[in-house]
Amino acid sequence: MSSDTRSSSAAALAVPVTGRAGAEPKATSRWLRGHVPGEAGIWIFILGDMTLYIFLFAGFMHDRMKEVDVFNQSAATLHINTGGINTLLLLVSSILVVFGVRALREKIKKQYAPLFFALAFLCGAGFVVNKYIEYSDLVMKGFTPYWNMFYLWYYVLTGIHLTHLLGGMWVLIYLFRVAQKAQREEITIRGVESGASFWHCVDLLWVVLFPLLYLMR
Amino acid sequence: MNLKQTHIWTAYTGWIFTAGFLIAVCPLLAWTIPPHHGPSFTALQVKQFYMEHLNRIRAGAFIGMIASAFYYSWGAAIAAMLRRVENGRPPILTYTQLGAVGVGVFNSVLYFFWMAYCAFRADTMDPVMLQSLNDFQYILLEFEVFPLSLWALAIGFCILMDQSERPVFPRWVAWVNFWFSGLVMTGQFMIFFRVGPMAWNGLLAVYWPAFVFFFWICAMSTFMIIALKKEIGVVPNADTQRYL
Amino acid sequence: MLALARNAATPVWILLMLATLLSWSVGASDARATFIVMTLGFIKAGLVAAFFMEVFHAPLWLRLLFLAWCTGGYGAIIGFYCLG
Repeated sequence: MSSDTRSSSAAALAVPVTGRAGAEPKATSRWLRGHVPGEAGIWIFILGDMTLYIFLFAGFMHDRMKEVDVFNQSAATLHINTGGINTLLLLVSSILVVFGVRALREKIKKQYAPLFFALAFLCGAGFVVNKYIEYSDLVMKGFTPYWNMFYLWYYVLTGIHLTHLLGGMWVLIYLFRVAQKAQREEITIRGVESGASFWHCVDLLWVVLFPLLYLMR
Repeated sequence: MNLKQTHIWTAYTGWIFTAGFLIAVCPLLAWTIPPHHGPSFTALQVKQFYMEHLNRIRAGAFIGMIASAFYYSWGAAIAAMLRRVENGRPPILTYTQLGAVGVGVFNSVLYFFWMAYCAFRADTMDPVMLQSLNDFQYILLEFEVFPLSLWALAIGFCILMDQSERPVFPRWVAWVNFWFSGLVMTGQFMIFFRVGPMAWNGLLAVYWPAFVFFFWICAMSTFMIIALKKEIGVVPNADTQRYL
Repeated sequence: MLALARNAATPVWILLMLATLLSWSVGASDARATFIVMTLGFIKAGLVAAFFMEVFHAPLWLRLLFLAWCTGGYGAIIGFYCLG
């Protein structure tokens, strides 16, 4: 793995305020040693997103504490199997993205990189279709966000996650196009790593949301 | 007194706006962030709140109105600092920012204006009417967020495009702007709900956007002050070679 | 193609898929099951962060922030669960 295919983010991190071009990584302290995937700023975005979710988890659990039975009964009406399939879909899409990034970064089977991102996109699309089926089924049964607090939180949590997922699908399109471009010319891997990290964040949040909403009794 | 010093003063207006806004809305005065009550309060309860806190609410509105003025110099300063990034091309993103500054300030000014308006004759007003006018304040504060999102997007793009030797803002600040842009919008759905986290006293309508908003202002103000003190973006001999 | 898979992420992925199937089958029944699936959920999240997002090889500040998130999230959820 040659170091010039790595992002220059370590350098950017060591000298955050001055220019980026040509700055050599001077960081040798424990705090800064290591490779920051993508660029430093994307981690503010990702961690900032995750911070929102901590507050959402706390808010959900706080409201659950006040009416545990209502929450348990309502959770029983959710489609656990669809939720499980969605989890598997996102995990599969994540490993595909990992393969795609490795293909581009370490130049192993580079020609398959666009395919990996396209397949990950399809997994994401599958998630969206599942969500649509779930939501429409619940709404037809009368379980709208106005029915009770559980459903309100359910739609809020999964809805915000869904917008992140849709944003992530845009990112996958971008990754697909960069992967296509990489077949012909050299690319910097920083944007690819940043985008991939965002997609993994979407996966990470769902992996926690699934037990929280569907399986908690 | 010179221009550099004056510009540094405008950079501090962000802090003045923040401090003034927070003092105005805190529980000691207007008590709107964190909100004293929610949409589920009855009209009589709302009237009682106003009766018990009348002059405090008025004082809050007064301080807030003065603080709001400092918002536009801050916004103008950011746009001016980032204008150099669009050098050579039409300054579209700069103008977008300036337009958004207008909306943001309008938002803030009208909010405190309305607060004052509610408190003006609250003692003799019909409770139902007072409740409705009170709702207006919160809807204004929390529902008009998307214009700010676009503002931050324009700033973020300008920062990312800054390829100069000494960029005005560090690159990662663009991502703070993108984070703000995407996540301050959770309050946009408050119009659909009167209970829960999306109600106008809820987690997603008040607390989270307030946190994101003030983090953003603090980050941008800090780096603007640093950049102005280092005279980033200033042409050499700017003070001696004046226009005639 | 196998060269691509020869990476820490692949066995972790298999582990994650199995953990998901395990949670799915333990399902939703009582407090003990809830503890198991919630703990598994956060372990999975940590693994996704460490090996898919490559936080494992990242500087200490990033690793600590993710650890703080996982601990905070897990603590908040389990804490409120026990209070309820």
